[in-house]
Amino acid sequence: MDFEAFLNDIRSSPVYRGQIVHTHIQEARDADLSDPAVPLSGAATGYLATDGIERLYSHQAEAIDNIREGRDVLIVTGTASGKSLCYQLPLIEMLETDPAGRALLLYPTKALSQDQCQSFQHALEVCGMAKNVVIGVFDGDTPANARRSLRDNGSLVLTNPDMLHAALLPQHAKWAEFLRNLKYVVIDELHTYGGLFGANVSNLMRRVKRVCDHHGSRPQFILCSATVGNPEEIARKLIERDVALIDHDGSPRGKKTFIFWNPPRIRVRRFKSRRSANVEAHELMAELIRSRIPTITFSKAHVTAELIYRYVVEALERTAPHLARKVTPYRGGYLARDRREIERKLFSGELLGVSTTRALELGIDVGGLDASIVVGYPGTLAGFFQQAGRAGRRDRESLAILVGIDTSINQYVMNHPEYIFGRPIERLVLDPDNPYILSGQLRCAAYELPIDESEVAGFGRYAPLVLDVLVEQCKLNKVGNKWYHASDDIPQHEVSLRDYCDANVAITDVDTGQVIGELNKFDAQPIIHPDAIYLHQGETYLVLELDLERNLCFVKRLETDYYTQPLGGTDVHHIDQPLRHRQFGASQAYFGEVTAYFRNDEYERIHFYTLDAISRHKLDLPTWQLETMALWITPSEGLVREMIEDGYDIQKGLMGIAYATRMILPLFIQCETLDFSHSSCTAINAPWHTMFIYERYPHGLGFTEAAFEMLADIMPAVYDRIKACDCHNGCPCCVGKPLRGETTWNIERGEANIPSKRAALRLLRGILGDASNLRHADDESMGQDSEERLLIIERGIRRRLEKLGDPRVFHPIDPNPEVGFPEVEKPAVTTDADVARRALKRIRLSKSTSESTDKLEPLHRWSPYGHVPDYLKSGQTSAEGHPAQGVSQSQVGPRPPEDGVSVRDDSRIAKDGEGSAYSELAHERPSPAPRDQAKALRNLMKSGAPRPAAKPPDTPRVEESTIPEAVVELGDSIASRARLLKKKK
Amino acid sequence: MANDDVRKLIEAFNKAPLKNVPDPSREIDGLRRKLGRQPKVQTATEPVKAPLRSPIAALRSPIEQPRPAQPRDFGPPVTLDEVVDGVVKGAAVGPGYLHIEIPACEVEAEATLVHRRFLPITGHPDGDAVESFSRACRSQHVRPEDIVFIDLETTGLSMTPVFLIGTMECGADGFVFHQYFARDYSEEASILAAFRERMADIRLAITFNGKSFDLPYLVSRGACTGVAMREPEFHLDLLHEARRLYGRDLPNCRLQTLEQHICGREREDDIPGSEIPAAYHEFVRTGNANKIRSILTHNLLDILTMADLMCRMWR
Repeated sequence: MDFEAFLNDIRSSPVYRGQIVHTHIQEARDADLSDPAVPLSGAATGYLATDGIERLYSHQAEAIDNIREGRDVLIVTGTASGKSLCYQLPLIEMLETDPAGRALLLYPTKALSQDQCQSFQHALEVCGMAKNVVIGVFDGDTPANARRSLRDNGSLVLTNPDMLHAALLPQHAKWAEFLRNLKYVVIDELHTYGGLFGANVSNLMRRVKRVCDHHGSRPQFILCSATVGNPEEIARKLIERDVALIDHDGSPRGKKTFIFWNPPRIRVRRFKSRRSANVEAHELMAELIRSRIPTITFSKAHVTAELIYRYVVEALERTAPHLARKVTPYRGGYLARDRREIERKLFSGELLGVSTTRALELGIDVGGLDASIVVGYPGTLAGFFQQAGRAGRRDRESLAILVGIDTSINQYVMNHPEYIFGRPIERLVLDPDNPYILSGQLRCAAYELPIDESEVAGFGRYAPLVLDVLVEQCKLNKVGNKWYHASDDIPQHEVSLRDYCDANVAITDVDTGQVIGELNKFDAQPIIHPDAIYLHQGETYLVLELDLERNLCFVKRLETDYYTQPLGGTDVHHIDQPLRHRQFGASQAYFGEVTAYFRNDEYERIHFYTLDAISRHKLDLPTWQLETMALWITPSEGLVREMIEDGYDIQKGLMGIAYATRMILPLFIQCETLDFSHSSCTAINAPWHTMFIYERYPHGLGFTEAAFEMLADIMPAVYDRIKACDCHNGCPCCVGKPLRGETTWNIERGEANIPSKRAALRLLRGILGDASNLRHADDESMGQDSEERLLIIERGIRRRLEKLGDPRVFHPIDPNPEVGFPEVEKPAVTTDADVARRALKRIRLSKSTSESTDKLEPLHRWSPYGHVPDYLKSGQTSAEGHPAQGVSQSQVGPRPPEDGVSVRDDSRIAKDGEGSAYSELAHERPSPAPRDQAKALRNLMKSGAPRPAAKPPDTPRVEESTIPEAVVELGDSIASRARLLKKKK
Repeated sequence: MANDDVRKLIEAFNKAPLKNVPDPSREIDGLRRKLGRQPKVQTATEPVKAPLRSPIAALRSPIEQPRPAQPRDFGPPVTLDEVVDGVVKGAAVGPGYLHIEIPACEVEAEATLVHRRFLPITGHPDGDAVESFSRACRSQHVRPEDIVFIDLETTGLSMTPVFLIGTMECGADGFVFHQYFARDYSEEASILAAFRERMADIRLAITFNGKSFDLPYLVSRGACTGVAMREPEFHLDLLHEARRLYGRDLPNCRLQTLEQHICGREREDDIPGSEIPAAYHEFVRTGNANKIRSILTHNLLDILTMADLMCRMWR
């Protein structure tokens, strides 16, 4: 394919205004072939032969060697380099040699596991093992009977982390056979396990390992990752074992031309100044298809994919109508069958173009394509290379076009192609020891198996603290040296792997009672406040009530011609605690804990079509307080004074820098701009010229700390971005823009007190200097284990747990409480027949059992507080130290036996609404065990010792003989029956 | 009068503050003070309460959702040995457990009657209904001593520890209950081991919904605690028979419904099954055995109803 001619055509066309800002040519590379040290087994060789593969690529052979040697392996190679073969072959060998062997394969999405499952099924059919081996996808869509068959017989189970977390591990006893024989755990697409999700999955792996350990297996891990800056670090953090890294890509590739295409500026508009990337993309696509170059276009959303498809068809109908039918849209939600049909048509040449979203990025084999158009940088390097790599075969030249859209990140990439083609600097942040994540994960772990003291260290340095708090919150209980799950909920159902907030607000339609949506509790207030319009499937609902206590929101269907938009902002109120501090150029940089406020004072009603603000309404919502982690920078006083003298507005400059930094952070850390907020000059206990970037999750996810460490890379990039932006005085791509009037700004969009580009540049230049003074060690830092830091964390966990439910206040009871009658008061003597009878029964019972139980462990030994009353330790019977005994005795006062005591009489007792004799017994205060009481009583009678001094000497003593034997007997059997006495026939 | 005074005293006693209970928040405040920081006044991360005013009152729906559970009331504190007459026994595995053995007639007078009815339908020499029953349990010779009724109480919904295995065996003079009670979570292994030992010479287990719940549950818990459990040789699940016989006439086939409609008995002061896990967790946490009595009784009555039901099915 002659792309050069195509590009020259474009360049020479009259409408071309220099949109190609960069061309990168990736030269062709030959395959590096190699063989495993030990030849592959028969079945595996057969499989390869059927697929026309003679020899393996070097990385595949290396991976197989390492896996055979029993190492945990990490494979990091490019798109379409045959990574899945690296684990498919060892798994096939395992099935051949050890039919009992089991493997668990984790994919981040359902679609991917479906695709891989088909690929495995194909492989097994080729090897002739399909009949004997059960493999399948275990996810939310799997029917119950298929789940059972997978559980009992499945050799390869393909699933996702969420399913493993919520369905497999809680039921691990039922999966015992599978787990006992588990040989391999495969984690594909490792680069998707960053941030919150990654931290949760890392803890999930800890749980998997301990459950496997319990069932007696130690599976080997095989990890696969696409391009990312720190794959080995992530692998180590995720599985907490050393991995053998295989990153030499031995697969061949054809020559590939990358074009960076920046849409032209439109001069009539002040902001949003570039032409639509979708329009540019459709023109390019139509042009490519006219040249009969099979093309795939990736855009951001369903709508844009459909839109581009429509535009392309219209364009082709004008110029080349016979090609218009050769284009198809594709978006998520298509069935596998439709996908295969599209793949087949692309191969056969029936189709020349596909317009799609990310849905086709993974798990489709579209070998026939020569060009791919990526509309907007996908946000991650892996995503970009995945999309660009959809076009091109080994032996053919291919073309990838990145069309830049009008955002900071895109414009930065357009200007800095080395970011993409140089050494990858995008880092994945993963903090498995995050105490807030542990608080959920430890509950799950204890639910699965009690946590032994020896295991605690495996859950990171904050685990002891988290366990303490969980015990206090009645979620766990420590018995002996193990922590047990001690509440009647199922934590796996409360803890989500992908969401910070465990509790979602359920949005309920009052007309139908149906829950029509769910919303994260943190986002709920600004979006579904009372009177807001909630949009659901294009229909408008009026919010009636938002109850954050019960996590409920009630909405009612109401046809409106407007939607609502909250007005407000967020800023840092004060710094709680700086944790790290270092010099950074001509400024001081800090990382620490801050408290930020979120306000939503007003909302606007906005007309749907004209986008006019119809009216503005007051909102009576409380200000939200958020304790979170932040990164803040204070420029030196000298610099600030100098700038003020030169007439710059420091605040506007800081605002611009903070906005630009936030917008560009996702290039360095895998996150989203909306994971952060920024503010400047607001904190009451910081110098006035301080800018903050803080996380929007309570207590953060480690993003700002990672950013603090990478500051020397990030801030120069921010400077470059602002400087390179060709706007006049600020736009959303650099320092943010002034959009509306004074009060109705939305700070999240950079609409604030108009940020000044000039001031921002001057300030940054001052701070960065010649970039020689940026990398310093921490001047001060608070140790990870320092007492105060632990306190901060403890407070945070407790807050977070409070949201999980009502923490129950409990007061452990003391088996022998030191409470007694006031000495001056005369203990009352009861004449109640029942009390006397019950007391006697106790004595009788204890008599009959004392012989048989004397040799056994005393009952009180297991008491939760290990508190043994003194009188039991010594064997003494003095009533002195335990007035409670006195109580019991005084209750057993003599009474004249009633003449009419009979069965009838007792049945009356039970029916009288007094409850059974036992339930009444249960309401008495604790008294010493009947046996001891009986002993005491016996001794008392033998020795004839006087009553305790506290008692009046004339209190009659208890004598069994005062009650006739018959009555005692009667009372005995009646009392035991009366417990449960029911209506008699 | 005098009686009332005692009541009052007992009440005062119940309400009296308990000593030696550390208040965690106080300790932390102390620690804070040591560090020179102000004791933290409780402030929520989020607003305590969202305004619940509805602007359009007319649109407000009468939907009432259940409020989150209030702190539960577990009754005044009582220790275990006051409410249970059990024997602590050692076990092959674990720290030991509490074994409770009661003749059934002591619990419920009707048990004698049930026993009398039960004998003929088993493989008792004098039995006359042997055949149909044997068919049901697919066994040739089931003697009364070969039979055990089983019912479990667990600490949660699925896969959580079992803390009580209740059984009823057929003794010479009538039914005898055996309850294996774990006084904390660590004793679960002991009750499983003890139960397994007991089950070694039992041929037929009779349960209600045991096919899908009790027996697999025991096996699962065995896998979790390392006590390999084995299902008995024969098993009769009364639920399936009950469905077949009464399913059409009753609103549902829960044991309590059957007890009410088929056996004609009502329970008073019964603890609902849903409250059992929380009550047990509370017991382990605080030692307050107030609800344990009800749980044990609940378990016994369930088992007795199973026997009663069975007799009525094969009469």
